[in-house]
Amino acid sequence: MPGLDDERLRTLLRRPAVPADLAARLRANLAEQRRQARRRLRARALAAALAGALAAGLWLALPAQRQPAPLVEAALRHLEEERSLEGVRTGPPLRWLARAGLTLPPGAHLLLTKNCVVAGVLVRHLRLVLADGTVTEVLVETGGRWQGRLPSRGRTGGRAWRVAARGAVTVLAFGPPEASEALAGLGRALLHGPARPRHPNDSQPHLEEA
Amino acid sequence: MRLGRHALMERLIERHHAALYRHALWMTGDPHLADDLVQETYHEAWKGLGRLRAERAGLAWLLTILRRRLARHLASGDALGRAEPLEIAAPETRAAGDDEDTALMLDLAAALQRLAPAQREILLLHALHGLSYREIARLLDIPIGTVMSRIARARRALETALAGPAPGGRVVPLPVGRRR
Repeated sequence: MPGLDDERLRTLLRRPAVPADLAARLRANLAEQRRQARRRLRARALAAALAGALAAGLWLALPAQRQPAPLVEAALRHLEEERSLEGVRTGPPLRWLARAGLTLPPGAHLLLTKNCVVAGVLVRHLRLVLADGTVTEVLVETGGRWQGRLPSRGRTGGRAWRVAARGAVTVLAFGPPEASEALAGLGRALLHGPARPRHPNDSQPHLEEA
Repeated sequence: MRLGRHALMERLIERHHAALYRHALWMTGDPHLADDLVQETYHEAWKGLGRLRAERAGLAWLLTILRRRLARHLASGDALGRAEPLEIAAPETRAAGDDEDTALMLDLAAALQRLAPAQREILLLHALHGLSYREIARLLDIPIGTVMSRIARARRALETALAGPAPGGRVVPLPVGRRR
């Protein structure tokens, strides 16, 4: 068969019959692959959701296991250094609180208020006795330099701590381990208390005014 | 209009499965292996469908996948690597009046099996699929000039093989379809 031209060669090469069911089998394979891909996708989504839920659960359930933020560690060191201080005043505390837009919770009174430097940032250090007698230490930063740098809560060095923020103002409140919820309430009250500022002489009889 | 993945895959099956099957069949001489290779090719194509840039490039893209599969079989010493020449017998199902064509096809099959796989492949790309020199050059990643010279050499080798005596060897049934 020498001299086979291109057209003849093409015709002969196309002569072998293709299995009649090949296309159908290929489509069936394709459908199965799609089903498997969907199953894999669902399984991945489920696994991701479970992992997320587990991580969130751990985060909420084991706050004591979390590594405290460096800022919290610095704040705790500062509180330890100033544990013995009481009644040190650097200015009219209520006026400062009002300027910062903060409100003392009803029934609370101040034991200490002073300006301090924590981790290179000037903050206000308050020691408060809440209405139920719980003594808390509060650091207030008003310049936005703690903004977004702190986890919302935790337990470190035998103390519970809570963070509350409003705009550039960040409140970091420390207290006994069982007072975590009270600290949350304190943060809210300081930041979002009654809009009408209280007069120092009518509702805060224990307040030490400079 | 852009097709969805599934619709595109359906169209690639519809348009190219026969060409891929024949390519694999002429390369291997084994209908069952050819069938498997085509299925493997589409399986891989579905997984990598995102890499297909345009539907019109579908055949070349599928051939690239099929060539990888064929090369794997070649490397493993499967059908392609057999040194023995292949003799193809016509099936009982061939249509009446096809005798001359069938005889020619059997001679062609025997001759093709005597070519080196690379020569067989370039002939199929050109003659079976009708790819241009440029398309073949892109597919094989070689210059167009090399494509032209390789096709010319493969054609000469085929002529020589067709003119020579038919070799003996194992019998593999090859289904023959009606000429269209």
